[in-house]
Amino acid sequence: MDLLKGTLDVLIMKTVADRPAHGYAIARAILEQSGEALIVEEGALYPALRRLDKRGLLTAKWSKTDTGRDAKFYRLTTAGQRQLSKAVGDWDRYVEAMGLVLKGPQS
Amino acid sequence: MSDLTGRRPAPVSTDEDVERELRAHVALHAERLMREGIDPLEARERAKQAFGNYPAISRQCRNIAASPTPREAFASMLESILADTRFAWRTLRKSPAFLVTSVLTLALGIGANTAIFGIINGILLRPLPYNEPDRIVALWERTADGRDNSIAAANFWDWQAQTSLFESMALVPDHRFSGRTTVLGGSAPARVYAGAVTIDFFRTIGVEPFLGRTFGVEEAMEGVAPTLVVAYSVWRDLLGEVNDLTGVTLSMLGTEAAVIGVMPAGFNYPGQTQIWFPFELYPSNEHRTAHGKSAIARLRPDTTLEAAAAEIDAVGVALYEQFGEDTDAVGVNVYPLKEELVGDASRPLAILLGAAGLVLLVACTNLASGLLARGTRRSSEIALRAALGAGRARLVRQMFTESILLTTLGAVAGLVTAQFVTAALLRAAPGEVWRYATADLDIAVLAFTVLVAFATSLLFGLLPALRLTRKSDSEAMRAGTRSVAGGQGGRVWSALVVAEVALVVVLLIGCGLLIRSFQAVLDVDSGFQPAGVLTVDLEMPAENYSKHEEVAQFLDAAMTDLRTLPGVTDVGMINHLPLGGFGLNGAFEVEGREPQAGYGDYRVASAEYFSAMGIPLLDGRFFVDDDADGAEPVVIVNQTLARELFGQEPAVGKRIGSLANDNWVYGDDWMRIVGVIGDVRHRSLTRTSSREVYVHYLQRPMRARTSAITIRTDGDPAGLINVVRDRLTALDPQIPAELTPMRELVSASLHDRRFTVTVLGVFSLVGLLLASVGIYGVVSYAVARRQRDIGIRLALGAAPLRVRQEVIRDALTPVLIGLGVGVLGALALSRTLSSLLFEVAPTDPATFVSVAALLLATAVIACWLPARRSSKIDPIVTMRAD
Repeated sequence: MDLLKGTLDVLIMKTVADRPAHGYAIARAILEQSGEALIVEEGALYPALRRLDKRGLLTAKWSKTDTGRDAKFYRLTTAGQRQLSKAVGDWDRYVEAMGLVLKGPQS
Repeated sequence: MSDLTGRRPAPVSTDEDVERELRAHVALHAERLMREGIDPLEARERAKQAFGNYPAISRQCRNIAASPTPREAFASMLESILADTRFAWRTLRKSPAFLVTSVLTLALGIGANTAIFGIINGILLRPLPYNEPDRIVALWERTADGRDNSIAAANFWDWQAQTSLFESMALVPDHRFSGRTTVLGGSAPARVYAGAVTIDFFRTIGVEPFLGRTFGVEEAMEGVAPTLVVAYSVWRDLLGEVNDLTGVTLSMLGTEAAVIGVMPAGFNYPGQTQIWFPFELYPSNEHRTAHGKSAIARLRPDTTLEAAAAEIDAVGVALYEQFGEDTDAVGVNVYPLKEELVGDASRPLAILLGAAGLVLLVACTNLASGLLARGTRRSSEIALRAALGAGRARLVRQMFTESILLTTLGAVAGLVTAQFVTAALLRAAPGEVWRYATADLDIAVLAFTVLVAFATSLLFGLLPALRLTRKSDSEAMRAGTRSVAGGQGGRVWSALVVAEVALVVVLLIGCGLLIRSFQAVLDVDSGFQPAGVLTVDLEMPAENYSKHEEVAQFLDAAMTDLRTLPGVTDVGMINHLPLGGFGLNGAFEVEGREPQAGYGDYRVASAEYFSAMGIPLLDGRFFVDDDADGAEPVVIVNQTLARELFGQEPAVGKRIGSLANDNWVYGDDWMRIVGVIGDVRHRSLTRTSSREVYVHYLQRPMRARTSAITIRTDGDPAGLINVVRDRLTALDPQIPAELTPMRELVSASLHDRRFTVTVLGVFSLVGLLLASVGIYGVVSYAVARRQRDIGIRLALGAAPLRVRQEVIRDALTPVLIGLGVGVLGALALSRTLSSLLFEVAPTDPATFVSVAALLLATAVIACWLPARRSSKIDPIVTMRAD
């Protein structure tokens, strides 16, 4: 299933919400947690990460992975947390509204 | 270099950072695949494939990383705007003449417009401060020739009874005829404007009292105690601002009346009314030609102005059919109250608006040519910077900043100017209608004028920059100062000069016509000699002067006493001074003719009035002291009446009688004409005299209770004011009097006209000044531009005089075209001035010729100075300059 436009940013923010992660880990996490239903084109992740960084929603730091490699770890900023909870709320309302319409009038 | 070219060095580390991150991703993926048992080469290959288009993504990331964050972008924008502004300010400061001229030009254009537009908008557009003012109308009787006439009460009663589309209707005094009345019982005797209104007045105009109540039906009942409603100013000045009106009374017209209400501050309708009393309580003249009243009415909410006007007009027409001879109203005219109050004033206001608009246009034209000249003069600087790598956008932005800065300075200066101009106008402004003006600045108008200025400065500030940067750098460099502004540029120049001259010519011709009219008004023979005359406007309170003898006695005593003052030669009295309002008028009989054969103004005067005012006797005699009460009734008439009623026959010896205003008080005896005097301009200096009848005051003493004593002196009449006041106070301290030299009254009657002429004159001068600065600038620039040509020609032996003539000829061509356009424009527009002109045609050749001459002279001087410089050019210097 392809991603809906504009949802990649939310997925990324959600993924790094609890603990910092590097790009590859983020891509894996999205794939795994969606039950392999959402496929993120790996390369496309990076421009999105860079943009979120620019907007001050994420912040990045070079660090070592478990296997001792250098990787850039992203973490959610306070502004990012605000943005994420707003996006989640919007999404819930959207889904609810869509559901109501798609299910049709209930008797 | 960076602030010249706008390029900032890119940080080195970002690209590397992106590369490292993307490579790390591929490595991490491969590492995972290898852990699943895939051999390293294969794993790397698959990881790369999974990543997608590596170079494209890498480029994308690098771009994003290199771009500033929103905050950085904002900060750098601010920084560069500040830098641009500082740079622009430095550049502008290098040409202080240009800076000061432009800012002043804008200040005048924006300031004058904001002030005038703001005030006039306030007057013309703001609704009247009454409840639902759109439903209030003014009513007038219509004369046989279609003009409005003031109303006779008898007609009004019928209109009120026979119409159904009006919610209410009220008779009010025609404030043009209103005089002041002495009021006693307040903190001091005072003269106030008092008006009889029918009890529905306050309901009709829709204003609630500030304190107490207004008239109800009971106030109009016969035998009821008389009541008054007073204006805020009376309550404040005479009643000590009491909060409880119980027991508060004022005495006026011989009657003590209870004050039942106080109207809010600023409410003085009609005119300057300060006390309202019920019309119904007092006997009124029921002749259908006894004019002098005015009326307002409130439309029912469910009707239209047209329907109501048609209904009441039909009533008026029917009344005319019914009463024929007895009425001179053939119908009823109805106008919205707003139009009624503002109508007459709107023409001069519109003309001031037009003049202010022209000044703004001239200012913009001037600004345009200034910017254009400056831009072209800087062409080599611009070309140099372009060659050094400054982008076109960067250069245009620089010019843009300069224009914005310049206009902002001008707008701020304009705002300050507007405040001053508004205050000055309101202080000097005449007339009823200006009472509706306020000093609030009109933000919409300010925004509009500032926008116009911005548009002009941007257009003409950027034009040179755009034109220059369009060419390739080297071409512009080579062109240098010589040819960049030639060709197309020259045409823009000429067009600006043509426009500027044309606008100023229109302005000057309008102003010239008004000045000539004003001169003509000043030259009018008023029929009297105001110099050396002091007037004393007074009213004997009816309480103490209810008998004929009392009035006559006071006036006689006062005049006798004043005659003994040193320097005084004549002392007389009249009930209505010239130029002080309309006075009484009405129909009368002429012996041996049809009834109502005569109609005219009517005044009472004493024997010495005519000599005191310097009015000449043309036939017969003046009044004498023997023409007193009981002697044969006599009248003096003016030349116009004698000519119109009796033609070649002598008027002296004829008899007239039954003055419509008087016969219900004084009976209708025949009165013999004993003298004919010269015409006096009673209503205004610009209106020819009507027929006038003067009756000796001793035969009509009650008409003289309100009157003016006129004192002619050898010396300065103003010097007499204190001693005359003391003498009158000694005779009766209860008579408030107002002492004014007659000259001042004449001057005050011209206030409106003088105001319009002054404002227009100032605008025209400003316009002329701006235009001459503009022309000077254009020609100086043209000379500077052709310096090389001229230098070469002089080197080749051309006569300096010839060169100079040529420069002037070139410069004057657009001036002459502009003059032609302006004259045509003025011919088309000057008709709109007709109502303000007096004995001057809108196409008055003298005005047109003098304006053309003035403008040409100014233009020649403006051209001469730079042209003189041209012939002094040293060929060697100019040719070396390149």
